Amino acid sequence: MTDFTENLLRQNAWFLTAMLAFVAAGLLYSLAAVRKQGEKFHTLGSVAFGVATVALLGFMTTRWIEAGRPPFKSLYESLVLFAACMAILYVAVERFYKIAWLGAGTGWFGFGLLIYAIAKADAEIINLPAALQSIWFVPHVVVYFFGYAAVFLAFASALMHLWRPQAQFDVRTAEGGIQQMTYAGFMHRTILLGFVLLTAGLVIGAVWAKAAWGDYWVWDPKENWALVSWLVFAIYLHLRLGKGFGERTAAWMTIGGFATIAFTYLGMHLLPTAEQSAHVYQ
Amino acid sequence: MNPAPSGGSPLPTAPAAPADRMVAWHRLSYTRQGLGLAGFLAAVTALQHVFTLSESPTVRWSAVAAAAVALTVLLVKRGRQAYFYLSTVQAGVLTMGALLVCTVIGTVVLQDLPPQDFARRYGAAAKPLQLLGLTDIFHAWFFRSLAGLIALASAVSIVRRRHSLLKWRNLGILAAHVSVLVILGGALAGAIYGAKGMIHLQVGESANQFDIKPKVGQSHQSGGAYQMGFAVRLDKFELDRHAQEFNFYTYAKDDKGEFKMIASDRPRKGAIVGQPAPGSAVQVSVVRVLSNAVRTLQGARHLIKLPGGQQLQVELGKTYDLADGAKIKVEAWLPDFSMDMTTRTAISKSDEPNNPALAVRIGTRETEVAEARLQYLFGRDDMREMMGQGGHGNGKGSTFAYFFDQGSGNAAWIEGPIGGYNPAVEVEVRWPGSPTERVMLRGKDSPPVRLGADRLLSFHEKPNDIKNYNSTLTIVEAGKQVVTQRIQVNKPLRYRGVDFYQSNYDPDNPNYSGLQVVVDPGLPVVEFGLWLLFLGTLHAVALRDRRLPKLRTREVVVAATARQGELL
Ligand code: HEM
Repeated sequence: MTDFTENLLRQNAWFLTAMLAFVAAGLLYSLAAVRKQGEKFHTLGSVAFGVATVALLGFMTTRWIEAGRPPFKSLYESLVLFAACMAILYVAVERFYKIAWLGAGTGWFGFGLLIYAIAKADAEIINLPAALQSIWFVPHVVVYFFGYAAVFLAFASALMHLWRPQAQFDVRTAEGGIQQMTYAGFMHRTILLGFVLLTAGLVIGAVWAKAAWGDYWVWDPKENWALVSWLVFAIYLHLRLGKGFGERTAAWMTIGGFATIAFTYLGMHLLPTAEQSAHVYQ
Repeated sequence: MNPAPSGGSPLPTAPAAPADRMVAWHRLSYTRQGLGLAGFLAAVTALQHVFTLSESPTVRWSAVAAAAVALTVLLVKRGRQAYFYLSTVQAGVLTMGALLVCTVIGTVVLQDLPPQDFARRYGAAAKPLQLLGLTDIFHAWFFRSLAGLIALASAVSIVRRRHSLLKWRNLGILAAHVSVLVILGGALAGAIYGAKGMIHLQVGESANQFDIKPKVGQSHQSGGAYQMGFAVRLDKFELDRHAQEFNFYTYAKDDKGEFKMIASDRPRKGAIVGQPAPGSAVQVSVVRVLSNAVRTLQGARHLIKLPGGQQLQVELGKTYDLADGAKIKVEAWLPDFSMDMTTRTAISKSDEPNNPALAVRIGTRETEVAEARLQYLFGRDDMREMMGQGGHGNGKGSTFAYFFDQGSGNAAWIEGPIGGYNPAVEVEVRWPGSPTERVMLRGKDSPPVRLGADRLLSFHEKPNDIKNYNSTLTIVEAGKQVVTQRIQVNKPLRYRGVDFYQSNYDPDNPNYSGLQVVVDPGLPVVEFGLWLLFLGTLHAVALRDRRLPKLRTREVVVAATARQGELL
């Protein structure tokens, strides 16, 4: 615990601002969810996500300059990037979808990511190894974390669907009208977004591996699990085309898909094959 | 033909087929189809064992022939159904599901270890795992058959839906499925026609062939040599290092009683640095940052006698030209030279000139002065003699010798050029209740400052790892030098279908370079397929779901399950 407190005290103003902004977003959207008249809280909540976005972009910019390389190398840095992707995505989502519980979930999740980042804070900015010095590094990582962020929204919607399958909320259509949507519907949309991004991440990863090592694919554990989580959603998309694929099944599959992603991101050191991997976070 | 599933976007459907022929297949459940797939994969595994374990060619090839006959019979008798079945969504789901399961297994079971290691790790389970092909799953025959099935299923599914898939709104789906074929086709081409291996070169050496790494499935047996038809020569090898950097590092004792680095700070004037132990109110602030701290005495003179006999008066931090393009750089002066036995570094025991030594680098025409080894020249007669450094007594005059003239001034710190040998910081250490203390921390040779119980603050160089490594390669073909190119990690050289990747270096041998060599005609095909996969998916998702998707609610699912006959 003292380690945590010490690490917390070392965080800079950008980081702390973002943390507070996530708490504010979590609180405001939670209020919006429990009150009938939540319009005001929605607006303030999305402002909070805006503040978190700016603060995290500020954090990453200064760290980029200080490190002289993109700040996406260590677990700590990637957690910050993940939180930033969550905030940015939610600012975009809020423009079209008024879903108080998801805003609350995203706020608290972003806060959780930063708390975890503090626990894993770097003692020092480390240099970039040769293999990561590539034009593919930034697109690969950024695309993946936006993909993870989209899948998190799908996961949260899946939980909400299991809790309140009938609930509906307003959606602004492209033409400016208002429509009703269920959690299952929103879950599907975010899966589509997430799947495109995961596909892009996978493709960029393969193209990059080829440039660095001469192999598109080496069956490395991290690659394998990225493939597994991609396959879960590819299978989901196909299953949906058949009959008998209900919303509950879809929700459970989404939860499973998110679990594989969480495992791909954080669980690689647990695998017996991890010692053979080039990808495990220290 | 079914109506589109309620709510979802209308699906491109196949041209109607006579219902009677399909009925039996429609009734297949996922369980039975899954069992069928498992049976097929098991049969392939059995075939692999017969083929690889049997000594007799007759047995081997009869097994293959039997399998071929069985497959032909199956196709002749059930060809239409096979075609129909493979084109369904379920086939996609099942084959991709099987791929998922195999991939997971491949991360849980250790892969491709030498046999004795398997026995040690898995004991009695080793044999069954091996028999099931799970110990080298990605190269097992059943796994490759699975890849083949996925390709076949994608192919059939698009052929059967070709009419609707050619419409603009479905083009993405078409592309996504075509890309699966393209990627697997490219990989197959690589597996058949490709070769891969390592070339190890010393500067000046060349190679025109490499040992082929055993192809997948033939592990632990050599693949022979691959003749490139030209030679590759290593002209030069260079290591790039990250820029030298000195920082403050806080160390804390961990549970095992070892000091572990827990925090770092950049040296900035005015900054509060270090992370004191909780509850300890010590504060360390930076007063001054010296880019190169060198201790000297005012009025002192440093003289170097050159091998040729002439004398040179030098100043700290400066570089001097010698004869024949050689240069000497004076990095530092250690008034009281000593070797620290724990760190094996040279330090100055005190500020008194008890054992004066100059740290110099001597560059020649070949070696840049900055890269030359650091060496010490000693100013005391006995030390000079002991180290054989010219001067008194031995009269050889063939080496450099250093003479120190103390002068009369006071000791002082002077600042050298940026990026100097020994950057330093002057800090103010404030313990509550005690007078403020000023300490000079030199990056190279100062002990750490205590920050309370079990905690230290040290100022030293950031571990300077390798930034990149570079080989300058020349391709020599038919006696002519055709291409010269510098490669590094992430920047390979390609010549006549052969790719050279910077792969290895040896920290103890600056002339060695390890190159990974890949010949793979399938690579551009795979790359095209990968981008096609992305674009197809993007297009499919963007165009198909403009409207709000409404998945079926529970009631509808029940109704749909009742009509399960219509699976497609
Ligand atoms: C394993 C072989 C595969 C088979 C047999 C297969 C089969 C199918 C079939 C039958 C459909 C429905 C199209 C229709 O209704 O006409 C479909 C849709 C689709 N497939 Fe596949 N597929 C396979 C692999 C893949 C893969 C690897 C991808 C990768 C992206 C993919 C992406 C899609 C997409 C995006 C759709 C449209 C889904 C939607 O409408 O939301 N398929 N596939």
